[in-house]
Amino acid sequence: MSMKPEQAAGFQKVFDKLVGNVEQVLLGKNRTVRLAFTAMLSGGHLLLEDYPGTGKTSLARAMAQSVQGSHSRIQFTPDLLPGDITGVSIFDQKKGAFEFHKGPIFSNIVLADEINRASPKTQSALLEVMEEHHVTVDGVTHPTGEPFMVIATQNPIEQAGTYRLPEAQLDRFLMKASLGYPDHASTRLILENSGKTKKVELEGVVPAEMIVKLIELAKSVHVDPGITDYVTNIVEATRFAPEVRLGASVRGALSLVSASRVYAASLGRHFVIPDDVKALADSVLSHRLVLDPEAEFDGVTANNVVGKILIDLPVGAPAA
Amino acid sequence: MRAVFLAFAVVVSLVPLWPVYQDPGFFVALAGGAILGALIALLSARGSWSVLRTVLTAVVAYLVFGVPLAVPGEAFLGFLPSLQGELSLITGVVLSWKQLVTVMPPVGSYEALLVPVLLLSMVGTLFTVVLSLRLSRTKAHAGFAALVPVVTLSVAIWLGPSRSFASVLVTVGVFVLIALWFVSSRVGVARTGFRALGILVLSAVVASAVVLVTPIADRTVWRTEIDQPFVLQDDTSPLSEYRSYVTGDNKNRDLISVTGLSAGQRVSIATLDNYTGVLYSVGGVAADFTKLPGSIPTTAKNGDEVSAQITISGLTGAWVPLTGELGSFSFTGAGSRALTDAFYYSRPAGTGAVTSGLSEGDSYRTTGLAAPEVSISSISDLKPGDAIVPAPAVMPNGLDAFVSLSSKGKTTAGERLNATLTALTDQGYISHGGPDEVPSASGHGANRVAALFAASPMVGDAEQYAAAASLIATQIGFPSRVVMGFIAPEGTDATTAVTFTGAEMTAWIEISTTEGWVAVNPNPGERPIPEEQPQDPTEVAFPQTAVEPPAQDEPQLNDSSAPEVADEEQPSEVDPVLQAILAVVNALGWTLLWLGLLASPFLGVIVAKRRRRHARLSAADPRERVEGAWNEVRDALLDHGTAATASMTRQELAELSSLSAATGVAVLADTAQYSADPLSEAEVIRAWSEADGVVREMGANLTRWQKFTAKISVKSFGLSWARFTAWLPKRR
Repeated sequence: MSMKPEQAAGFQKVFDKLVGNVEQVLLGKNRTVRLAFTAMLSGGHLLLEDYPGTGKTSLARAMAQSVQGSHSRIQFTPDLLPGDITGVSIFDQKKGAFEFHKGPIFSNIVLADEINRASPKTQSALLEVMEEHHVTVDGVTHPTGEPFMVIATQNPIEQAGTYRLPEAQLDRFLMKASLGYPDHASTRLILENSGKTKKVELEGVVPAEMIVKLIELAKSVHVDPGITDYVTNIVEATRFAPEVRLGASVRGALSLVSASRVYAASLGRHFVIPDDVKALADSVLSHRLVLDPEAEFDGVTANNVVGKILIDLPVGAPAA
Repeated sequence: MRAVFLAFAVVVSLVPLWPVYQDPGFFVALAGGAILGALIALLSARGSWSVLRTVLTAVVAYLVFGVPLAVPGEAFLGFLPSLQGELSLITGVVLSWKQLVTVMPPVGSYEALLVPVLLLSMVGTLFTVVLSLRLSRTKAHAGFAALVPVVTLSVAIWLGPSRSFASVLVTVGVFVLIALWFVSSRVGVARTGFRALGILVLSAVVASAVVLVTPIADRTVWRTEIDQPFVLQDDTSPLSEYRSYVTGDNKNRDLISVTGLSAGQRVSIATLDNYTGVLYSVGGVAADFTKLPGSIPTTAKNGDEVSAQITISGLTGAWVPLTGELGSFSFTGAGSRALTDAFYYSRPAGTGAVTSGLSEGDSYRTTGLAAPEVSISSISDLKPGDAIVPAPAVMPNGLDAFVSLSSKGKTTAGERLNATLTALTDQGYISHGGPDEVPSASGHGANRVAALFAASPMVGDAEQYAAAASLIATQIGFPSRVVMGFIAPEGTDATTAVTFTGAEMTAWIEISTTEGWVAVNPNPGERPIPEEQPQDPTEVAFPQTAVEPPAQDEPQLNDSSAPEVADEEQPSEVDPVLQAILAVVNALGWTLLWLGLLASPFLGVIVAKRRRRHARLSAADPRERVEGAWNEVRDALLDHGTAATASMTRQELAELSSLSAATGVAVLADTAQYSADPLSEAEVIRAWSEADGVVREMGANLTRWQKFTAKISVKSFGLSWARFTAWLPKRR
């Protein structure tokens, strides 16, 4: 059953409400906020990579607050253990049995701050829960709540004491975004308001159950075969690009289609057009590519590669 | 890649040279040169070569490919360069131009005369393609590339024949190709492009009108203006003057004095191998008169070497008496330097000539290899040789029958020739037609020779008998030619000078045999001429020859030009006013036709666009109709110069155009294509309405030239030249 135009209009209304709520605390970052909610309503996870002090944590917290659900924050450190995230089983002497104590991962929105500071072992603890939305400890599976979204942040500058995220981990993130520094006017506004008000606590504008429904509704956005063909061409092009050692996975292609659905619905459209795909391709695919070391040495970035593919690849339909 | 039009224009512009060559080698050199020039230009443009590198590459290509293309006769195995060929190629760059306009056409692929075609084609194409590719299209001087075909056309006309060849077709072709080159340029070119195109069209129309209205007449070209080293038409056949030597005042006049001749040895004035039906001339080897060094090796297989000192008395004129195939030659005495400069020799003809003409007192020493003489009775054992002489343009009536009757029962060519020449000498009588002689017409045209065969008894002199004998030999299969000159009489001593008078002038034939050229004297002996026999038509009416002489060849040299006068058109009785009106109407008609031809590519594009729009508007599926509306907008954007790429979406392209209505059409088209919802007829109408509004809005602020170029642009058909050149390395 495809989405109806009026449903798309309703979707857009809720989406704009969420975005508008977050923009109260994050000024001048409309596109990034939209991307973040697109990831959320696609049922995916978001990796925010940016310099310190650009608002990564603020964004994650604002998103969590906007959704009327539980949220938690995990500060990743080198000595963080997997059990600190997923929870541990502790022996209850009264009951004479082990009892599972849920970790911070059991929230609707989990902020994994500076994720690359934890050891690979700890990072890997997120693999199952991000993909399956449940945790298995001592052979017992514990589902997380729905919706479930991990918003991870990492600092691209610091190298000492950090562990690069493995490809499998990166592939679990639906998209990677960066906030960047705010523009002049926004910075000025932030400075003017800094001493006047207390820390802003956002009100939740959409209940968690509504988010689950929106995720389901977004799946009904119509995708024409021409669009899937276009997405396939883009993904294949990443695999054959000379600068790329490892191209985008099938999961990447699926992520691009599902994100495009949400993006189309967020604009009040009940079908996907190539513009949606082009708007998201860089955010959804770039972090999944592994570049050839030589190309990387020459200064080529994954964003360059995807950008060049979008410029060179004809849109399947006779659009131009 | 639009430079292809100019490359073709250069090729077409050289077509007027065809009448000069009339040989397939012309097209080989023309096409080969164009391909070489275009390739070098492409490489030069793509690789951003310097001028020096481009020129050096062109020179190397010329030396490598020039021999098989322009000097095929010197090519080793027909396609490999040879040392001699390279020398001809190099010297041809300088010398071939004058040689081309001084040699009588058609020149074929003779020596290095194809070099001008190769050079014009190669250099012209190289220039025009390089300029077209490397000059900025938006600058006014980009039009310089179009001047190259005009220049090559002018050079081809100047190098060509005096009579125009396909002038209208070539002119129209060149200008249409240049116009296509202009049209294929980018839309939005500066107004200077429009002005240049306008000037070009106007000049082409005027040129064509002038060509059409002006009566066809011989025009002044380099060929007609240049000082010819040796114009054969002025001295076509000394044989035609034979009768003037043997009769009248010249009869007893001393013509030349020769020291070194023995009895029976010959001095030839000219060797005539080309029978036109009117006279025998040296036309068959016309192009072979060249200057000579002091001595040249002889090529004759046999013969007596005769060395003689010759002094000119009354035999003035261009022809230089020689003692056979030339071995060495040097003028002696005063003026020898000037005479040497003016001396030309044709080896195939064994004939020498001085362009300034010999005068009394001139003397020279010569050594020659004389062809051995054979008697008619000895011909039976000879077999035809392989020398090449031009076939007679016409065979006189009665010759075939005379040969058949005379050589009845003979089998070999030698026996037949023996029998026929024997009959000729037996039945023939000598008369120069002087005051006290039996009447005998001069000349050796087809009619005169036919009359000789028809007469009973046959009466003529060496002029007629030599011509008749040569034609008989040719008919039987012996390559043959007529030689006019003197034969040293009995008692001549090589140590003393012998003086020849006009009465001693004679003519004989030389026939090519397996032993080489041999001289044969076909003249009957002097004896009394019997009374003329009554004509019996049934007996003397010889069967007609297979080849009828053309009517225009019938008049003899001495004939007046009365028939031509009779054939001339009578003065027109038409009213001059009417004539003027007809001329104007004619010019107007041709001009309109020309303009129609010129405009036809543009009209074709406009019609194709209308048909495309109609097909989109009348598609059965509403989705296709809405997509068609967007396609109209997209094509209009492309034709108006919007730099769209295939990777752009509809909405990106619409945003690029800065036309809000275009975005509306793009959204409708996206909905039609990517949504699963059916489209209403109202949406279709809205899409087309908005599309038409967008197209109108696009043209609102454009100049007329920009509107015109958008209308005739072919970009929306996907005919971008960049697609065809995508395989080439990118320009730096």
